[in-house]
Amino acid sequence: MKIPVIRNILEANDQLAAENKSLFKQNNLLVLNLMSSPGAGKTTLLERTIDALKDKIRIGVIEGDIQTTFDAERIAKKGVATVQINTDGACHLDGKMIRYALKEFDLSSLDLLVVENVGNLVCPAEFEVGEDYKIMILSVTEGDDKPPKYPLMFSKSSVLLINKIDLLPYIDASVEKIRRASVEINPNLEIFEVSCRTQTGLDSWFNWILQRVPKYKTG
Amino acid sequence: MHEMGIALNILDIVKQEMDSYGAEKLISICLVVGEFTAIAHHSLTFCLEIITKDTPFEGVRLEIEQIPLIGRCINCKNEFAIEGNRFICTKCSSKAIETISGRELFIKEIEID
Ligand SMILES: Nc1nc2c(ncn2[C@@H]2O[C@H](COP(=O)(O)OP(=O)(O)OP(=O)(O)O)[C@@H](O)[C@H]2O)c(=O)[nH]1
Ligand SMILES: [Mg+2]
Ligand SMILES: [Zn+2]
Repeated sequence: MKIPVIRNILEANDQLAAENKSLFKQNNLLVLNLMSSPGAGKTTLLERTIDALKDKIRIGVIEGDIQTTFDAERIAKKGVATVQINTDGACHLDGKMIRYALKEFDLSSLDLLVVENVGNLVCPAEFEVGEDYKIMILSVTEGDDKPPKYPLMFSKSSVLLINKIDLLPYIDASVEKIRRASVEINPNLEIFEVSCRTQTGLDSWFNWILQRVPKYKTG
Repeated sequence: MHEMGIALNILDIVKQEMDSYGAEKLISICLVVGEFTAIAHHSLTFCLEIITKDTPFEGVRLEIEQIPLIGRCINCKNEFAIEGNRFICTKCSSKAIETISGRELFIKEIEID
């Protein structure tokens, strides 16, 4: 006997993500889901962002890695609330893991929560965690052919940071080509060209955040 | 890869549905999967095989209906297959495109005994 089901396979995750989201809203929190392939510069960007904004807003960080607490240790050194999630093999964070990590925070004492997802240019894009925005980094050393190869992440992100532009003189990647291919997939994508090493271009990124932090928006 | 987590989700939902029908034998699961999702079909099939091995669900058949990525132009209402990730209207070149199919990920039906 065949029986119709019609149920979203990710319904359990979407439900948890929605619950996380309403918790974030209650606490007036801006939540960013930061994604990229391994080593594109997520943790470095976070370090720069914390340095620049920690006197203006209260920041919390959830670090997702398959193993180790290296990244959480780097962030904790900056003096912000940090929780490490080890996914033990899973290639992405999901709503349930975030829910679990949230127990470690006093959300009412934060303005911005950044979730650094597991380094992976494919899977994290498929799983909501309750974030307001998906932010992705592509470093120029990964090559300018990446947008059409990994379209889902480009299509779901609100911001693309093209990182490591200090290395452009040494490689053959074209930032123009990355830009063109990215907006073809997602015309609404906001793009910043930055170097976390030389700190080039980061001010526009910091402003992008500040404009969206509820405390700044209203005040 | 995340296909394992997805396979576990599928089995959870299927078990709930079977309980509500009092069914005992699962013959097949039919999924609808959009072209624009990060799901590798063979890997999903493989994961489902692993997690059902030595359980009453061993040998369940997985059928996957793939749905093409179709966009609709907000400007001129043209509907077209999006190829090569070009989210650009094939008639008027507008970039304001809504995706009308291709992101599905759901269980359509199961066959039980
Ligand atoms: N030259 C250059 N190197 C950079 C830049 N940003 C980051 N790096 C370097 O790139 C390497 C990886 O940076 P991380 O910030 O650890 O990358 P990640 O994305 O957090 O890596 P995972 O968490 O392992 O996925 C480090 O050696 C950084 O110093 C940049 O703008 N220019
Ligand atoms: Mg990192
Ligand atoms: Zn059109």
